[in-house]
Amino acid sequence: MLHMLGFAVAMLILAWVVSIWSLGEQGKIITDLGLTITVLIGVIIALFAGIVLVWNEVEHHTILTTLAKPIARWEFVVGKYLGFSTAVIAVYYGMSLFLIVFLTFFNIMPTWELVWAIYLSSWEILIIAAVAIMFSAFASPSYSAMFSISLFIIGRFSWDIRVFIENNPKTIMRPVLEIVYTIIPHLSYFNKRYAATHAIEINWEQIFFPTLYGIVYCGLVLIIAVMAFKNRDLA
Amino acid sequence: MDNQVVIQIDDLTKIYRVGVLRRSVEAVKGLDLNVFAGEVFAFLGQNGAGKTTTIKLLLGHARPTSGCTSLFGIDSRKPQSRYKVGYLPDLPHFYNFLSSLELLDYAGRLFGINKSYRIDRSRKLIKQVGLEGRENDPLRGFSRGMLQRIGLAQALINDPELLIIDEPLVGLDPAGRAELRHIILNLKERGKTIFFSSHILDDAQRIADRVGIINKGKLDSVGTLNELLTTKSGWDIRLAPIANRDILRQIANLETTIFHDSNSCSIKVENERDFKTILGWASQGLIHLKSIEDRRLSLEDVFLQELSKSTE
Repeated sequence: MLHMLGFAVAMLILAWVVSIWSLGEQGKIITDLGLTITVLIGVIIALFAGIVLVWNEVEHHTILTTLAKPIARWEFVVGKYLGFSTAVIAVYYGMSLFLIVFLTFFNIMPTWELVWAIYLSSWEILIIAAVAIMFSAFASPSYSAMFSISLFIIGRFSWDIRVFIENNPKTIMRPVLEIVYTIIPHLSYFNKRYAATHAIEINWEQIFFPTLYGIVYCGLVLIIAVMAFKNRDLA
Repeated sequence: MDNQVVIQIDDLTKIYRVGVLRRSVEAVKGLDLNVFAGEVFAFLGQNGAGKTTTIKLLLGHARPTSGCTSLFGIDSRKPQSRYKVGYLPDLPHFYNFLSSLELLDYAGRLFGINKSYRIDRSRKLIKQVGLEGRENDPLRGFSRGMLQRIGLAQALINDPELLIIDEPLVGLDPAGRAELRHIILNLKERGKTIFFSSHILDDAQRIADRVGIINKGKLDSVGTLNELLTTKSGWDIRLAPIANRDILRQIANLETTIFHDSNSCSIKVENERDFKTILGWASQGLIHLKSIEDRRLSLEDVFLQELSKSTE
């Protein structure tokens, strides 16, 4: 994770280099690129570390002595998620703090929009971490990676799926698209980078409802993870 | 021995589906077994007989296809059933970035043991298993025998009433094995129950009160060592050297093994019919008996006998 943190810092410096050619929009470029880079790195960590989290414990048999103690399987899965997500979020907020400090060197003071955009993007990471751990509970790392990355990409385009459904109400694919739209994580809810970059107000509803959605979605994914892991033979 | 049932296994069956065609493999078949408080129970079998699968089903690491298991009267699928249980797996794997003390601290926390007791007990256990001085060394540098020792320590962190050990003596040198046997017997003296699986019969014979032999998933025999080894496997007869050639020829036709020289003669008789024949000769004065001893099966004999029954 320290390597990823260093990589993020390097990327932010690169964002600054790119912004030099931005014709006066340096602050916006660094803010936009910085937010994008920190979220992407957070998602990458959550994804690639999360997909092996439970799988490795089962494969290497370290789980046997743990679950021989009075620990329920759901406690193990939820505990793994809480510990792992705390670590990933700590790295993400560390990178975000660096971004904020970095911006002050260009006389760009942090705004509430930037703070809320950082906060909301952290839910993207928490959701992807939950999804990765869910797949890790029953699938091999390669399948977990495939499914998790797919869900992340589709989730990023959830708003576009919604728009397509509404603009094509009679499409025969509608029922399938409705199901897909319901199941996928609506990651576009958490994307307030445009608002942060252009100092557009983010009201309390745009903070509260995505947070609630994030909590519910992570909870449901963890329930699925626990159910999948509950009856699995461990060795 | 207390009659409280610590481990109860009722009609336990486990079927695995393996391969692309999901071929079914019956790892455990209709196993019924009770283990009582305070005894050392040796669960013996060849490799692949179902010993480790049974232990996994007991601890909830695998789900039974049918049947049930309980520990201290609690369904073993429930975590509460394991509060008084310590477990050492075969070839234990731990988080290798932890040190010995950290591993024991982690294990103790999972039992909800308070910090001061945990620290004190961890240090005592590390000393007891012969790893004093290695408290802060990461486990990645430990040998197999050392991992077995620290594994035993983490199994004892909660001072369990029941200790389940899968192949406890594998990976230990002779001194380590003697120490572990000593620890097991010490635990037994303190009224603990020990359930261990092994394919090393000599160790089982030394420390077990009762033995169960599992073969191809089925429990072939269970009993105390006295009960299992009570079966006569023949007689050893010593007699004076036999001069009568006719008798010698008749002995050669029996199912016996004879050692004969000018000073002595001994015959290993396998069956009762031949034994009665020899007694008959003695009563007619044709041979002179010096001693007769019952020959009893060793645990290895019983074990191999059970294996051969299943292949018939």
